[in-house]
Amino acid sequence: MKKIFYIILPSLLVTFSCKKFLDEKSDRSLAIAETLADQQSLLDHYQVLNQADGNSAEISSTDFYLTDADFSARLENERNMYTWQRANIFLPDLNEWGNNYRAVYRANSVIENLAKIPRTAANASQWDNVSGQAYFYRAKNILKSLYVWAPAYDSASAGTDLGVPLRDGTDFNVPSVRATVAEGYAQVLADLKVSIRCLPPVAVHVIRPSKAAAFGLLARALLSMRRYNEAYLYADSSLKLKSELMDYNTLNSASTFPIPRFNVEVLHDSYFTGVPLSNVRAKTDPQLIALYEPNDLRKVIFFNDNRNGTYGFKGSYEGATTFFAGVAVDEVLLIRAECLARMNRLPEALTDLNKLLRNRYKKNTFTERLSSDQEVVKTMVLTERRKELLMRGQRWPDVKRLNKEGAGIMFSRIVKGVNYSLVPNSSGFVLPIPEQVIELSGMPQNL
Amino acid sequence: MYKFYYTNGYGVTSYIRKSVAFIWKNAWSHSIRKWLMKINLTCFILLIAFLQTALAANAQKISLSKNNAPLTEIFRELRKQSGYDFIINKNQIKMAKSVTIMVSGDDLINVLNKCFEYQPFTYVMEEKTIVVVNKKPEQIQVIPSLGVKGRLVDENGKPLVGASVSIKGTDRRTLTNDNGEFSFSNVNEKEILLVSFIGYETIEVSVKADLGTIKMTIGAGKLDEVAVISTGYQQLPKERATGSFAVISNKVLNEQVGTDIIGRLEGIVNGYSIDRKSNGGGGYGIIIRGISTLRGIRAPLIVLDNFPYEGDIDNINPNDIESVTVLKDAAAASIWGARAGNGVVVITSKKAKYNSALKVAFAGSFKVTDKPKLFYENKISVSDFVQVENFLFDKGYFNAIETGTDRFALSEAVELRIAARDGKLSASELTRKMDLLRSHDIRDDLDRYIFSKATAQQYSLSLNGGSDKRNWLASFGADKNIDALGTSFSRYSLKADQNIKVTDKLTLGANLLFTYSYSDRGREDVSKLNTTTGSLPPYTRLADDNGNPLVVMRNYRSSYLSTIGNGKLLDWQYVPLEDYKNISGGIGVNSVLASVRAAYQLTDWLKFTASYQLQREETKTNTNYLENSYMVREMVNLYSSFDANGLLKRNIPAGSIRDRALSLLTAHNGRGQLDFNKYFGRHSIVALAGAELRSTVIDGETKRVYGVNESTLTSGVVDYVNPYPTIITGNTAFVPNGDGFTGSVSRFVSLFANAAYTFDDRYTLSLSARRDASNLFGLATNDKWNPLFSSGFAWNVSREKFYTSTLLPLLKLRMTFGASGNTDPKGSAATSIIFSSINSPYTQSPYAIFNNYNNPELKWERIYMFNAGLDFGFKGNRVKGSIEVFRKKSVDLLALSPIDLTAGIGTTVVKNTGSIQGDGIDLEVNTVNMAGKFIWTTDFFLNYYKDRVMKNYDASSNVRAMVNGNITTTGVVGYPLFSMFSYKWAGLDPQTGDPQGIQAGIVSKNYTALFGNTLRIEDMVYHGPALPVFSGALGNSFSYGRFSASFRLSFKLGYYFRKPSLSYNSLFVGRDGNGEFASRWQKPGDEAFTNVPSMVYPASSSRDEFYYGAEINVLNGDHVRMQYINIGFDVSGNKPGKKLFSQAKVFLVASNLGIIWRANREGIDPDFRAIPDPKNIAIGFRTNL
Repeated sequence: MKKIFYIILPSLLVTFSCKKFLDEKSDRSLAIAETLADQQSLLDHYQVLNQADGNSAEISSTDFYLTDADFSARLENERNMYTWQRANIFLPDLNEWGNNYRAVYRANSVIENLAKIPRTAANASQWDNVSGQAYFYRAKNILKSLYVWAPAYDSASAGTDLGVPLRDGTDFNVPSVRATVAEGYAQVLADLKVSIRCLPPVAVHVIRPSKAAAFGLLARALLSMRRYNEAYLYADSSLKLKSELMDYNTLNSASTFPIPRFNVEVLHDSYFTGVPLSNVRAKTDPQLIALYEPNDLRKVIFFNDNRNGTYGFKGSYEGATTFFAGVAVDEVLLIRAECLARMNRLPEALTDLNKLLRNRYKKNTFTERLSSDQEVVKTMVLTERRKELLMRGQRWPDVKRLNKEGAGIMFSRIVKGVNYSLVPNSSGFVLPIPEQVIELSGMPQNL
Repeated sequence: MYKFYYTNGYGVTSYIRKSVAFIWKNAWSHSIRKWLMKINLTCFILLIAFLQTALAANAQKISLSKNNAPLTEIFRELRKQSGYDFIINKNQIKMAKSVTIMVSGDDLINVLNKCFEYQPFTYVMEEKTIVVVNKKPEQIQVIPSLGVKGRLVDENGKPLVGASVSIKGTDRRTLTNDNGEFSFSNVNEKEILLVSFIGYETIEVSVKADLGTIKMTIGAGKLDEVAVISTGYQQLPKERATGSFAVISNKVLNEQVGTDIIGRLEGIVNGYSIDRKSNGGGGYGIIIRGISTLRGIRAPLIVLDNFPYEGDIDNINPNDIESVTVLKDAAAASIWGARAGNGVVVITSKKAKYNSALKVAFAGSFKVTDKPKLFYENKISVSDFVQVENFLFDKGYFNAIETGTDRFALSEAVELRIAARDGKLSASELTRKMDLLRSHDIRDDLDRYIFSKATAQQYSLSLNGGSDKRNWLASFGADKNIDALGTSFSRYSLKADQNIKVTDKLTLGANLLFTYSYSDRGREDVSKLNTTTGSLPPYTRLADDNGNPLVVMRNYRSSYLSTIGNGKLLDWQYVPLEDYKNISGGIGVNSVLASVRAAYQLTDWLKFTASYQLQREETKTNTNYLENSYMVREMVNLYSSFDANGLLKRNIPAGSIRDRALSLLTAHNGRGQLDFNKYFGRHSIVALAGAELRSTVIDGETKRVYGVNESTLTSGVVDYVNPYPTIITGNTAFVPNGDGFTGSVSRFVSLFANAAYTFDDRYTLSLSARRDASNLFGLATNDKWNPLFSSGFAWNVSREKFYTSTLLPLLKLRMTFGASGNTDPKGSAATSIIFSSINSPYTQSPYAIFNNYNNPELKWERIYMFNAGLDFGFKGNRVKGSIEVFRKKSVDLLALSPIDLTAGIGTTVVKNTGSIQGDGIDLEVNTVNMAGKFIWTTDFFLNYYKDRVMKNYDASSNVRAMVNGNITTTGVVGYPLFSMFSYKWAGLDPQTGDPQGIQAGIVSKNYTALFGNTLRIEDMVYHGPALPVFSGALGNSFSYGRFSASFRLSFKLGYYFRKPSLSYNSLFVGRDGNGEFASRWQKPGDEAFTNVPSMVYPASSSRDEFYYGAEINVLNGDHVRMQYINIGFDVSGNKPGKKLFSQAKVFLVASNLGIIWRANREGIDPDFRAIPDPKNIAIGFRTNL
């Protein structure tokens, strides 16, 4: 019997000392995001945070149109979105809503993980930087969602208008409830203010958020809330950090894509895919083309003359068929100019506007814009805003905002002889939430 | 001492024998044996012993004619003829009487017996040596009791394990051990032993100290009975089993020919089927008694020679396999623990046997497989397709592609229309050229130039032998297959196995299996090719009338490619019949499986076994795109750019692109096990307990090198960091980087115990328990332990005293209940991230994606199974079989529950929410219809299995997903796990030919609503299960003299499948059209005889989707299939026991003979997604050990 014990004993020992044996990671590329570096690696996943912005705001706007043949060749949901239908305008699964909230989840994960990492003197700057990036992305994605699925901010009704859900943690069992528009914008502003505090003035690469970008984004948010005085302040802060413009005279308008990627104006890079908007299919609205003066370089740098009376758009800051949707100096400059005009600080507004246009017109052909009429200056700035920022997803929130002020901009399209239109301030400017989301969460749909 | 004899010609052996002779006088017996064993061990390691023993045991037919010859002379002659050595001492030589003998072709034993008949001494055989020993005075009379030992073998000399040996008239009985041996002590010499074993004639033997080897004979009607079940942990006599097993003998396995073992089991194993359609979770689609998991691994655990097999099953040479046991119920499988939830397939390779003369087996076969039937699939006719393209052209569908900066390729017909539109082609030329296109079907070219008949050659050679102390086996296998695309696959396997009884108590064994396989690249199946605008048009010609290869459309418009780059770019044309020649490489798999085991008999009832196995499988994939391959030319061209001076700059250098992937699997398995085997009168306990450690490490690596110069083997350098403009669109892009590493480790620690108590051979009670722990990521060690258990009871009714039925002499009831587990290795209870193997090109920093989202409630899936079985055998064993009923309840199933996108983690989340209950019946009947000269046997089995989802998330909100795909886990509560649902159909709109559905009782064409969110499961048509409810097979075997034949039918009944149908969207966008197009609705009135919707432009994907999912496209899947036919002829002599081969057979096998009856009228094989496996025919030769 002794022999048996000699055998059993070591086998038992082996079995019970196996804790270490079982603690080995099952996949070496796996990790629990514990370190600051892990958080940064989550935020460096550019496919999710920089290259998945939605295109619905642009498809729903009328800076471009499709020929009937091209329209027919598109997928059903795109055709529905293009004609402002109220159902089946998003693909069921990986759609814009999902992409925005995927980014929000990622930001929330980082924010939660950071709470478990002590901020020390040694890691403070990295800690702050990571934290600032996370808040930046959360704000950016909630803001994008508000533009698409919520009515324009109106201080009178924002407290009751339905906005979008605000996820503030990673527990996916918490039901999603639509917050009010006021709550939504409040969170965007708060998050951006945190990120401004934390982010470094300039990032190692424009693919990562920086203080300048956060100031710019905050200015964008406040502009769409029509809180122009504050928007001015943040735009100004951004420009103090970075205000360099490209001189379009240095670009080769004959190139397929004349504007290089990651150029000096880019504060934070992101893009949306634009399949129906490709510069082959999407023909630029002729009325918009007509706004460019002959010496305006944007006419040849932004547009591809199809030699059949139509124009495609090639002026993306991505240097490719994809469409820039990030924050850039030209936008911030135009925000400041508009706010200044609205604040009746006209000379300053014109200085900004002229600074931009000097870099957009053929050398020595530009004559400085002058006016002392606030309405004229405001209109000049808004016109240049439309001409400068097209195909960046900004037209849609701009029209919603301006119609609140009585601009009366109506969208209409004729497809195969049928006239479709969106009446100013109508509910059509608030897109329906993807059906699957409504179904599973039970949240109220936009009617 | 007289050193008689002796040269052998083999140095080592000769030395041994001389030494043996030299020290014989003092110490033959123990020390010498021990010493010999050591030498043998060395021999084993060197593998020399195989040869040596092979020669020594050879040629036992003796012819001798001697008159009054000295015994030594006779010995000399016998040694020459038999290879046996003789040992005799001086005194014995003096005493020896001369011999007169005349024999011709007689057995050695007979000759020896004649020679020793009148000698004052006798002889014993020790291994291959005859030792002369003095006759002892007869002592049997004086000793009243003695120890008795013996060994039971079947008619082939295989040991019979678990046979009952009792002393007649007493309670004393024992069972034979793994080697068929039994022993009693203190037996009265006058007693009679009663030896019985199921399926064999019971015999009575008079007691003798050494009964030697007792050969049992098969009872009437007993054919192919498998009496021993191997669970991978123990050999279990079938009569004492409580669980549910299916055992497939070597004979049945050999009725088919093929490279792999798994493919031979369908239609043969009761309760085992292969699902070629959904095949989720891999594992060759094997399903044992239904699917018990929603999203975990569905594959059963595959065990080869007692250890889980981690490598590629295709590496196992079927000729090395002795038997396959499928463990079906919880009691059978629970011993395998955590991974046994889907059943266990235990594969046992051929083993050497003790006390067996050298056996040589050879098998060879040659198989030819038909080309795939390309016209099986109902595809749109060429002429209809041209019509569609014309239609689309007129609608302006191609305008955007034509003017697009992507320059995507347009088909020939469209290019012709463009040329005609632009005035470059006259109307008559256009008509002529269009007609020419219509006259040709790409499938004719595929059949002529791409596909050929596949061939497969398989050879194997196996040698084995064994003395009472040692046995060995060596086998070699070679396979050479050439598939329909000309891809050749070769596999070589070498197996060596040896066991040595070092002492009476200690047995050592070792096993080595080495496999190497290589498959190269064949022709490209261009029908599967995806151009930038869909598949190739059906009128594509691969070669001209003289067979010269032609240029075929690929990714970009040829008119554009001819102008771009001013001739400075590489040629950009694609010639499929040439291109494959410019791609070389293949997949090589190197696999070693080595194991050692030591068994030590601690007491006569307790044995300790320690075993260890190492598995190492290295897979190397090499793909070499030569400089002239389309792939290289396109990559180089795309990344070329021109500077301001028009100078060409290549960002990918010209030269070959070599892709390599390396994967190395290393698995260590260690096991310590105690076996307890004790009989107390009418009680017996068989138990085992042990511990096991397993570790599997998989390392992977991929690598791409650009710009390889094949003649100098220099490689180019590319820049992965900066994006470059691509030449066609001007978009910038990074050069694709193919470098990366992967690494995974899975570890298991298990404790297991298993005990069976049998009383009086009538009642057996079994219990088993097991705990497993693994390193699944993110769990605390304490939570990793997962206890599993089972219990079982068997009642051998026919052994009861009251049972007197002579009609039904065998009747046994079995019952088991137990739990097994299952886990999704990907699941974990922590948010984990996984790093991309390539850094972000922007920040040059690693970036991570979420691998898993924190869910602390995750736990193992659990499968409870109750099984009750009845084994029966009618008089004379003419009819026997079993019927089993089981209920399986799988709870805590990891299920994908849909989650609102707002949560930010996608559309679904894994939760332990599912529960499935399945009920089944396995019926098996074997009959001997005719016995005697003409033997006809039939085996039949029928499986019934139907499950029902008891609990799941509310799947009814996502009915749309249930209709998509071929077979999907529908998971609707109250319905089978795989259910066939469809949309209600209201015919075609008589005005427009639009498909119509029914919503809320009203005919509707609002497709998004018809399958949208408001649709409920109640609004749908439920047809039935999507997996067969009944399946089974009928096999018949005939033999008459040397002829034998068998054939096997299998059937699947009670299920539904969705047939392929026409999608206008796929037709327009992907050029993939169904032949239904011809019968589409075209004018009012057509709706009376067709259900195929009219062609509309633009295509509506929701209209297509509704039609695809409509009830009219669901068909009954019932069918009967001819599995195979095997005809054999035995060419060996008919004197049993006097030949090297026990059997030598030539055979002809025809398999995949297709469906002989089906419920659907469309001629569709419901088991296959696309073209069914073509039929094949093989001829072969096989000798058996």
